[in-house]
Amino acid sequence: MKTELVLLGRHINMASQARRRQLVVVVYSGFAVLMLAGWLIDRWRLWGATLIIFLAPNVSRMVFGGYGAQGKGLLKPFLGNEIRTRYARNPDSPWSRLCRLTIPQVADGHEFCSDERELRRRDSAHEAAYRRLGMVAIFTFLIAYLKNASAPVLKEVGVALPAAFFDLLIYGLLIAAFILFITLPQAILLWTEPDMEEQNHQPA
Amino acid sequence: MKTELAIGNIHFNIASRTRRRWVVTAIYVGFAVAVAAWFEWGSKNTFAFLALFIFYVLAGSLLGGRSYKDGLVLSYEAGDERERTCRYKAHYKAYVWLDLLAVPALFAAFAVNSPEAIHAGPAAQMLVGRLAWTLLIALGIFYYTLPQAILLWTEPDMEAPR
Repeated sequence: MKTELVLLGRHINMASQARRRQLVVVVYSGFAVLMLAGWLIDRWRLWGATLIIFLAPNVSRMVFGGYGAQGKGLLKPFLGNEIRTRYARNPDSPWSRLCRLTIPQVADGHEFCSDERELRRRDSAHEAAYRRLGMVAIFTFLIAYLKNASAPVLKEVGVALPAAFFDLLIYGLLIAAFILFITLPQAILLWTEPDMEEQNHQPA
Repeated sequence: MKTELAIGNIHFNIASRTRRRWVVTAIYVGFAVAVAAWFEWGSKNTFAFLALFIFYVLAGSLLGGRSYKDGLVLSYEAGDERERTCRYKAHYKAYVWLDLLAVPALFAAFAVNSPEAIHAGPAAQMLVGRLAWTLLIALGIFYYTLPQAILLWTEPDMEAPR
């Protein structure tokens, strides 16, 4: 994990856990605003959905890192070791050349690859995220079931909800699940990693 | 991970990876049949849904993991350091696969929510609605079973019980 976040040319010190936690809160607040904006624009239809689907992965990649091989953001690429191994197997292959062109950091093993401890933390963060996302998945499934199977039953007891309401609720939950899917393991890692030593930047 | 599968009084030796892979395949074939049957009987049929749900819970308890203490895979609380590491890895892999499944589910839900964006007729809309529902079911099934299935599928041959 890096101790410094480079965002729009500014260097922000992220060595302390408190700062990383603030960053996670700010990013998720931003996502909540983004979802609200998508709803207000056109109820998550074409423009609202495009805004979320375009912005959320990019913000996650630029700030959190992890998913995406560019090595931007605070975390090293999750797939760094796999990409590096394939690259090192034959650096002159067309795949490796394309890789070098699009991901210049691939040649720098220290910046790009994770050690044993980082891999273990990556995997355990995914396990924790997996368990928490289950709540969203089960809730979405229940809503879908209510819409498909129990709407007549609900109607009988005096609750008449239009199918469009359920569709919108399912869709909203899926958007939230999508955002959580691409960000939650990174957020867990940033949240739980203890304070780190600051890197000393000495001029070459 | 257990080396023996017990169904009632019958004990199956599943120490070899090949046998475990057969068990995983059988469970997913079972799921495919159960979901197909549910659609066939009508997805609005509550009893058909309950039958699918019971199969879902039975398969989950057979596979183990989570809080199940008698399944093939150890529960979250059990296991030594090596087993915990394997479990974390399995969850990482399952997470990536579920991510890939969640994206089409999101797009299908988008199509249901914005029919004018995809210029779909009523028949295509119905098809998209069914696709979204199927993907949600698949997401639910894989969420519940995939890490355990990956563990059973990838763990090498073990020593048979004596």
